[in-house]
Amino acid sequence: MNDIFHLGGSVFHSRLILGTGKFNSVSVLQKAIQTSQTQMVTVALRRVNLNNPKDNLLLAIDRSKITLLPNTSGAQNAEEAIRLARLAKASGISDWIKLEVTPDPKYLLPDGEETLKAAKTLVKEGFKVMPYIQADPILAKKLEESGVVSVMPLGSLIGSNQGLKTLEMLKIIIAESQIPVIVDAGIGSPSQAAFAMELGAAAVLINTAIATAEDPVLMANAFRQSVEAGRNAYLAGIPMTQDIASPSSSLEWITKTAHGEPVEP
Amino acid sequence: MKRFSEIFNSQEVFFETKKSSSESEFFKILHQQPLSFLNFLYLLRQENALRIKLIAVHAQQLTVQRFGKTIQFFIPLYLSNECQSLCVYCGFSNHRKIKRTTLNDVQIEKNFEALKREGFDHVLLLTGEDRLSSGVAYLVDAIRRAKKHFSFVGIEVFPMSVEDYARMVQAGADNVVIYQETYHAETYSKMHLAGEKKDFQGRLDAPERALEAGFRKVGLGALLGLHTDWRFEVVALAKHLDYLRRKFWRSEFTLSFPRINPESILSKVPHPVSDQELIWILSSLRLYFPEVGFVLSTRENPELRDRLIELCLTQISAGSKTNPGGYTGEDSSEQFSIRDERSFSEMIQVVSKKGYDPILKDWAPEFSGISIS
Repeated sequence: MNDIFHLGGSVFHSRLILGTGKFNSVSVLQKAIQTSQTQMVTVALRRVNLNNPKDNLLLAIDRSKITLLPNTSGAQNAEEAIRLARLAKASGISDWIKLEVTPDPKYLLPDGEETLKAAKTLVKEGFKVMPYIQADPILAKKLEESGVVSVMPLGSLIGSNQGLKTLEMLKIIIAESQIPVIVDAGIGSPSQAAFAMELGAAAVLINTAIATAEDPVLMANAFRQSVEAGRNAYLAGIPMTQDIASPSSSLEWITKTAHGEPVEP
Repeated sequence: MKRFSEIFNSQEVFFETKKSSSESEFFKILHQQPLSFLNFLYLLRQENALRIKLIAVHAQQLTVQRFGKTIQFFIPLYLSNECQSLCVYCGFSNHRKIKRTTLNDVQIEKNFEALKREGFDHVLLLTGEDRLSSGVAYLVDAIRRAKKHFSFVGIEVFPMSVEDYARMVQAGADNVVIYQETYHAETYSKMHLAGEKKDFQGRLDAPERALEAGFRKVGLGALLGLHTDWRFEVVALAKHLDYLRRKFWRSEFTLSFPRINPESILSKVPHPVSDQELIWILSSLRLYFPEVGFVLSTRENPELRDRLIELCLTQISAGSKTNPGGYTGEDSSEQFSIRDERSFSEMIQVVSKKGYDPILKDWAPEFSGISIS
């Protein structure tokens, strides 16, 4: 089966995007990238030294195989996010940008108003913008209209491993969106990732659940498998679930002739 | 809205809570997130080694979940040890006959270059309390210079007015560290005998003034060992942070837990806090503030530091000198003696060997102060 993931004019085969924070060493991160078979990883611009060609985080990523998705983690308003994105582009890192505007450092919830503002500016400047947002269907549509390449609604609080607490809103976003919907935060286990993919998410972004696992490399593999399984299930068409068993006894006569033989349709 | 000093009363009895309780109640509270203030107090009353251990285990888990196994490094640079205040526990206190100096432009640059060469990218600039030798204008200049070398520049200096803090933000400072030393007003007045530092309330509101001026990051702490009851200090510190966090919800905070270093100035620490108690303090605060950075200096010994890294710390200093110009061999007196003398590169090895990722840069110069648009 040839299931291609089109995003921002590029073609991907993996639907698992990996975050690079919280790993306990660069070598573990590299192995996790390899095992996950991801083709896109996100890196916090605040963590890398763009003036240093030997920055160990940037060196850890083989950019011939993997698309680097710089993020604006830590930006508290549109202005800061825009400045960070421009810096990344000017230094030749990438014209992709994962737009994160989180004014409160405790819950790290995205500010929709500032995110939309920044997205409009960055799209005009030619960035491929992937905004991290609340699971807000209206905001998702407004961002789509602004020209972003995907929307990235949260499943639950970032780093919380709580899974898809925003399920009902995610379903609406997925149903209405014309651009890829990537579930970004809160996915804590492979089964939750599979569930997001079954719902029709185009991809998922995983960081904490892999980076802080006892064995991050094995967990990266588990997520790879679950994302594939969930995607395949979605494509296969999941039969409708029912709350009660289908009765096969009392009304059976409807489908049978008076002689007890099946009625031909 | 009232300032913290107006609502804080250090005479007030902070807490009355049951000392012990059933096993099942303890476990329920242990895993409550977010932890309520009353249950935070409850954790500080569990005088049972096994329960303290369970609090510590949970603190470790929460830290890894939030920060991963990572440790950020910073380096303190003392710019001056001149001081007009008289504080009984401090090496820079005005009454001491020590070698005093304030670094000039050239010396400051030399120290920055030395630290930069070593690989530091987060620096904390410190002074005593002497507005003549190392006042506001002096600091503005030092911060501007530091910003050319380092991604992150913090200051740990005398309390200022909102206007003066705003000048620090404009110069490029990212962080203010200001410890209340003790939240107990009476103890405070016994420890701070003369000079600006006598002003308990003025110091208590300093973090708030810094935040009003637009600082995005503020570090709080209490100097453990001054007041008779460490629980009082810890609870007051938590209240202070609670208050600031709600009022300045965009800002980030760090906590420090300095213990008076007995080898330094005082022949005897008034009310020593044991290692075990320190672990208890850190762990309980971690359960109450899972998102806050916890900082430890080199005033603690290497063995304990190595353990606390794994417990719930997020930031440490390494290879520190506590005398002005210490990185370029200036002959000046130190504020307190260092117990962990391992170099920066040694500490990077130690942290890596523990299975933690040493982080040298976690800040972007593009972040400005807080602007409320």
